[in-house]
Amino acid sequence: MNDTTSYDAVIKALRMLKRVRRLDGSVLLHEGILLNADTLLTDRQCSDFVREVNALLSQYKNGSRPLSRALLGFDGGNVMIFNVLPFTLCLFFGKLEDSPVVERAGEEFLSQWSDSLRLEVGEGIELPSLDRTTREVADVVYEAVAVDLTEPVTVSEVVPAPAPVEVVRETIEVVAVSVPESAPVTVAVSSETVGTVIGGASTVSVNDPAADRLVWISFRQKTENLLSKVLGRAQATRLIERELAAIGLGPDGHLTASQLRPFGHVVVQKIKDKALRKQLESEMLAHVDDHLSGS
Amino acid sequence: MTSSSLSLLELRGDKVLGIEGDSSEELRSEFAREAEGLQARAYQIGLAIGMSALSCSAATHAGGSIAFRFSKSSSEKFDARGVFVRGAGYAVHSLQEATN
Repeated sequence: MNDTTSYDAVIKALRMLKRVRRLDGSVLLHEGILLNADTLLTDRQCSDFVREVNALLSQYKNGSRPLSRALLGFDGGNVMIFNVLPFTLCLFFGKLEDSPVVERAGEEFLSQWSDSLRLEVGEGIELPSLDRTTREVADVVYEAVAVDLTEPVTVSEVVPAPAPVEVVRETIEVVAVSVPESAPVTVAVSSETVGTVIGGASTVSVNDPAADRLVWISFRQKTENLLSKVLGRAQATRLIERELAAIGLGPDGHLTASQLRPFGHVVVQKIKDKALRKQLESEMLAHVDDHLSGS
Repeated sequence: MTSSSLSLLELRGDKVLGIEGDSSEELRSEFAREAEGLQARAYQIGLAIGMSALSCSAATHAGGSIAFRFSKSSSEKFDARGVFVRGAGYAVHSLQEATN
């Protein structure tokens, strides 16, 4: 069987594999060049995907430890990559729980076609499963070491608190406010309220704490969504909680409108990747402006 | 193929902690470096196909195996948990399961 015939046959077999295993898609590369893509990805997405997969393979190859297999799990789907030179097979699937079945299917497929495609199978295509119960268990060690993070969030940096924060208290203070037309009036103002008495005269500017809280809830939600573009959802939540704790606020505390911008800035600075950070910064600014204009 | 070099590690804040198995400083640093490299690449792959929120990664290569996953909820007391094996390759689904 010549190469062209082999490729045609393998592509047909891949389509069959996709149907039988109910995969979302498959991509086959030959020496880094796209041979076949059977996915819902656009052409642009597909070429970007191929470029990034090649970058991943190069990263390991340059480290003198060629990649043989990878599983990448995302919130919206998963990819399993089999690198059996000269081919790279990428299988897309929806549920992470299906990864054993998908991996087995990939192994079977590659075993079946190893001769026709002249695959460099090395130690074999099938890999054993890791059994955690058989490994040696050492004493629990909680010795810490400072190293580069494995996530794009730099939490080791000590960043100053963005702005002074009014700590929410339940006590009620009594503030005397003089009003020119009448006798002095006593107005009860919660210390939670951000209020200013200008010149001791007639102007009393008092923000509504309930409105502040609503703005904060909405701001926090949108900030989480923004950070979730580059972090996991739980990570984003944790990052915000950590920053709130750093400025002395508990999970129920909230920031005032004037603190949204510096807080947003501090949170975005935790993103390690410069390009992503820049992108998020501009989105964060727009997002803060939306909240400030709406509050 | 031996399991003696298998380690379970957790990332909490800016620290990598050894939970089970070998937890020498060298190993923890190596795990952190490799996980960081894998995560960066995985993130770019996800971005290319419109899936930017990475939840887990596992890889088997000539030097061993690595897997990590991020915490699924704030009740989990770590930011990420990983498995690191020197000198042995394992099926990636089993590496991923080992982080649960």
